[in-house]
Order: sequence, then structure tokens, then C-alpha cells
Amino acid sequence: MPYNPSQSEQPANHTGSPHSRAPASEDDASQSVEATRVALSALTKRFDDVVAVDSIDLEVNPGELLVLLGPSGCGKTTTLRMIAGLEAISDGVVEIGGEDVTRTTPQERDVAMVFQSYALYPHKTVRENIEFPLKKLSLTDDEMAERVTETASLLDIDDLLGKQPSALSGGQRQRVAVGRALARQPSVLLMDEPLSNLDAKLAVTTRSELRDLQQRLGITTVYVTHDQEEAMSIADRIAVMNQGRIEQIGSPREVYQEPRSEFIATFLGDPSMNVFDADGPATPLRRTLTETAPTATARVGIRPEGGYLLGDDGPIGTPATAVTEAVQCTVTVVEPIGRAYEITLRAGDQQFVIRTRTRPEWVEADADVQVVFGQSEITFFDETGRRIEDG
Amino acid sequence: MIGTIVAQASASLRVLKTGYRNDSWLGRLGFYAALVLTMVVALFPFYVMLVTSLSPDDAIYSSDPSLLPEAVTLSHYTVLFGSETFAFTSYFLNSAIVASVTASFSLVVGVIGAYSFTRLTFPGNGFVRRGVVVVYMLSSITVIVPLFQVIATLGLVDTRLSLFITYTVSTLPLTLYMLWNYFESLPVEIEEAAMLDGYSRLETIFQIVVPLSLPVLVAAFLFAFKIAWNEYIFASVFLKSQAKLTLPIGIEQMNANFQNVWGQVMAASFLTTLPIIIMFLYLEQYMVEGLTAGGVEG
Repeated sequence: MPYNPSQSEQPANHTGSPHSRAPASEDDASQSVEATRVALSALTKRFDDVVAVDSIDLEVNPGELLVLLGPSGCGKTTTLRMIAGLEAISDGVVEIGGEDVTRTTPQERDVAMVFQSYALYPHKTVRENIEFPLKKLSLTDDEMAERVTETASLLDIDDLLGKQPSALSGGQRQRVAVGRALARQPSVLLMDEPLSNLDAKLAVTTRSELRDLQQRLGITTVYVTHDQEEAMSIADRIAVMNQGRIEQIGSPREVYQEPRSEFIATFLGDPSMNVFDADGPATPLRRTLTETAPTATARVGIRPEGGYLLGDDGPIGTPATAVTEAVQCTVTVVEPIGRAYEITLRAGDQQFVIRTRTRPEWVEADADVQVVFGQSEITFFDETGRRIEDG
Repeated sequence: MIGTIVAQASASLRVLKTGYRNDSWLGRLGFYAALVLTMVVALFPFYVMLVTSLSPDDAIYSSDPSLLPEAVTLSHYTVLFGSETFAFTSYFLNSAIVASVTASFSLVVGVIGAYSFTRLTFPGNGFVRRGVVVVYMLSSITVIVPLFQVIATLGLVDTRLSLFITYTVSTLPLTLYMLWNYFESLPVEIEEAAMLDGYSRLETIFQIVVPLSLPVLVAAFLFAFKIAWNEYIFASVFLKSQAKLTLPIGIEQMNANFQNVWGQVMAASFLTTLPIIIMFLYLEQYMVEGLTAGGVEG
């Protein structure tokens, strides 16, 4: 879907109101889109003895793209399926647009879903796939044809309408799946890892297109992924899930820079945060990192970009804050990753990784280097793994 | 001959064990020999049936029977259709009605049953499923007496309905088994997508599951039809009046009531097998795999 300026100037016009199941009249179309709120309270899913989703509370604001992020098995897909109505709810309440839909079937909820596997109807052409949900609205043939055309041009799949899903590439199938979900103009859009079957490059371009589309349509969206980079780039807010619970909800910046727990701190970021026990033999590295530690500190962490090599003229790169004393380290591995380097270092028997934009020639395996850390970038965790807030 | 078969058998065993095929000429010879032997055993009765049905009476009852027909006649066939003594067309029609109705019933009930076995969780699902397979293992002769009592109590003796019910029940296990195995291979997401697109469970079954299962539905219909078409015991016990008899009973009665009608019996038998073969050859084209290609990724 190439970016079309003329279309984006009037984002509401071609969608009508997402609530209107009846054909949108002229008046409806000119009104601003009123997006739907989704609220989960104490939502729980038990499979026999296993608690997959453990009493989560979550509010998705109208028009927002909220990402459920977490490792596999954390309950994010189960949560999404409970919003969709595909999974029976053990306990708690799902509200869509202020209405309790906990005990209703999927077809009564006016939600659409893009599946990880796309789940196109293999015996129907692309046009029939997109028409299928429209047949449940009371549209005339002309209106239906118009919706199909609109959806197809929105997703740039006009020339695929006559084809069977088996004749399409993965990227095209993904587009058709999104088109089928959007054609009905549902009040909530659910996406379950919609990009995980695309190759890396296509996934990156598609996700920005999805984001653009979602913002233009202003449709409330819940998006499930295990890919933190995808989550960071696409989300208004991220809900990080672990073991059936939501660990933290916040903007991508918030969850990255102010992680509430060690789990989030290490789960987000690639390479992930270096974390050390605060107690133990007083090695230079441990001494340096725990210098300003609050008393409750059990673990101490530093992100790879929070460590700086010390050159002749001071730290290489530009630390935003005051830095710690230098720690003597030995380089074990230097990995170029495009425009930066990941350098694995050893200080005593402790290993950690730093990332740097520039690397002096002499920094190579087995070289001895000095490393300083950004004072404010050191993160402290207490016994239970919770981050100890500054001040 | 026996030597080559043994050689082939041990070669096949080796292939099964190692997954490696060693195509020596001896192996090929053994393979084709085994194939021909199987074909002869399977097809020879049909050949005899066909030849007998085409031979004049004197050739059939000759003391020196020949495998190759010396003269060919269609007289046995004209008797079947022309004479009033053999109600062949009426038997044929009865069988067609009973088999079609049974196969259709079996398919409709089978689709809904197999769907609930594979897509719904309810207490006793596994128990009922296993029960279905166990019931299929029972021979019909073991249940015929109690079944007759049930049919008699319901006042259904000598009605076609008695066959519709009992045939549907006896073909259902196979239909269910075939369908649920196939349904388990269908990606559930496609059905979930339909439900999210606003379709009820029943609509999803008939607009998504059924079209996607066409190959197995055709196969299941064919099997149910074949079982009902060839069924003998239930029909022989439940039916009385000539006008309602199905082909297997009709042919048996022909043989019992008349002397020296082997030509006609063979002609009737040949005509009885014909519809099944034609149906299979025609419907085979729908039993292709791969209908779900392109629906889901990975």
C-alpha cells in the first residue's frame, strides 16, 4: 500500500463509522470516526489446572494500537482469543464499547481478526474472501462491490481479486487477510502475530504500512507479538505479559527505559540488559555498578548502550549523564552489526556486552580496555525482581 | 513361482526396514508376479460372472465348461428386463432408493457428528468416539435379533424406513471415522475466521467445512452407498413383500425360487456391481487431495 497523500487527508471518509453495520449514509461518512474502547477486568483463563491468563486488567483506549508482548506461552494469544470470543472465559469480564460481551459468541462482538496463518478461505477467490464478511451486513450488491474495491485499493490488492489464495505469495496472502478483516469496518481489530510468517525485510515494511493504515482508519487494535522490535515500532502502548500476567503497560519508551521489573528489563532490548548479582566478591565491576545502589538492591543491570569504552579523550560516544569510574576489561568478541558494534567484555569472571557506534582500531579480541558506565543508566532490582525507582 | 514370491516378500520387508529400494530385475519380476496373482484372485470371479451372464444355457450347463465363451448371447439380460417373473427393475429401484437415502442420511448426520467430536469439548466425547469404533467392529448377525425386536416394536417390519434407520446406523461409524479424521486435518483458524466474520457455527459448517471436505464427503458417501447397496442380512430379516426387496435378496430369491437360472443370476449380479463401479469412476475425480492449499501459512 503505497502512501497516498490524497487519501490520508480525509481519513474518515472512506471508512464511514466503524459502528455502522447498516450502509453508511452521506452524513455518517462526514462524521468523525468514533472508535471503540475495549476493557478487560480480572480476565482469567484456566485449562484444567493450568492458569494461562491470570486475572488481568487492561484497558485499550479508542483508536489505540496496543501490543500484547511476551515470550511464548505467556498467555498473550489466549488473551486475544478471549477478546475475540474464540476462547471460553473462565473468569472476569470483557467489555467492548462499554458493553459486556463476556458470554457472547464471536459473531456478536463486531471484532475482526488477522490470524498468524492468515486463515483465508482456500476455496474462495480473493474477492469472495473479502465479500464473505460483507454478506452478513445488509448491503446492496453495489455497496458490496464498492466496499471490495475500496478495501482492495486500500491494501493495493486490486489486481489479485480474481485469484485463488493458493496462487498468492505470503505477503499477498497477508494483505488479503488484513483486507478481509477491515472490509467489514469492525469496531475492534485483533492481530495475532500477523507478520511472523513473512521474511524479515517484508515484515519490516509491512509493519509500518499496517501502522499507517491503523492510524488512518483510527480503529482500536490489539496486536499480539513476541517480537519486541516489532512491538516497539508499531505500538501506542505495550502490555508486557509474563506467565499469564501483565507485568507492565506503557508507551514503548516507558517500558524500555523505565522497566518495572528485571523480567521486562532483560526481555526488552537486543542484546538484552547485562544483569549481575549485587552481592558477592567485591570485583571492580561489581564495586563500580553498586556504588550508588539503594540498600534493597539484590541485582544490578546495565544496558549494552549504557557502557562506554574509554579512549584517549574520555568516553567514546556521548554519555548523556555523568559516568562511573573506569573498569579494566578484556575484549573477548567484537561483532559488527551494521552501523554499530557489539563488544563482549570480560572483567574478572564476569562477562557483559556493550554496544558502540564507533570502535577504535585497537579494540579487538584480547585487547585490554577501560569501560565506564552512564551513572543514570544503571538499574537496580530488589529481591523480588522489581526495579527500585530512582530517588 | 513360490521362490520369486518369497524373494519379493523378503525384499519388501527389507525395503520396509531400511527405506531403501533395491530394484533388481528379480525384485521387479517378483513384484509384478505378486500383482498379477492378486489381480487374478480378485478379478477372476468377476470374469466368470460376466462370461456366464453372456453364455447361452447349453454352454453354462455343459459338462465341459470353458473359460472362454464360444457363443455370446444377451438373452439372460432381456429376460431380466422383459419377463414378469423376475422383478429385477423393481429390486434395482428399491436398492437405489435405500442406498441413496441411507448414504445421504449418513453423510448429514456424519458431518454434524464428526464436527462435534473434533471441534467441541463435551463430557463423554472420547467415550462416545471410542464407542462408535467398537460398535463398527460388531458383526450385524450378532445384533440382528434384538434389532428385529426393536423394529417390530416400532411397527416397521416390511417398511423401507426400517432399512433407512438400520443402514444409517450401521454405516455411520465408518462415515464418522472418515470424517473426523479429515476434519482434524483442517486448520481450525479457517472456521474461526468465519465465525469472526459473523457466521454461526452451523453456517460455518455448511459454508466452510463442507466445501473444504468435499473429497472425503464423496468418499464417505460412496462407502455408505456401497454398504447399503450390498447389505443382505438386515434386508432379508426386515422385508417380506416382493415389491420392497433389494437386489441382494432379490437375486438370492431368484436362485431359490427357480431352477437353472444361473445365467440370469449372473446377469443380475453383473448389473448389481455395475452402478458401484460407475459411481466410483465418476466420483473419483472429486476425491483429490489438496483442497485446503493456500488457506493457511506454514
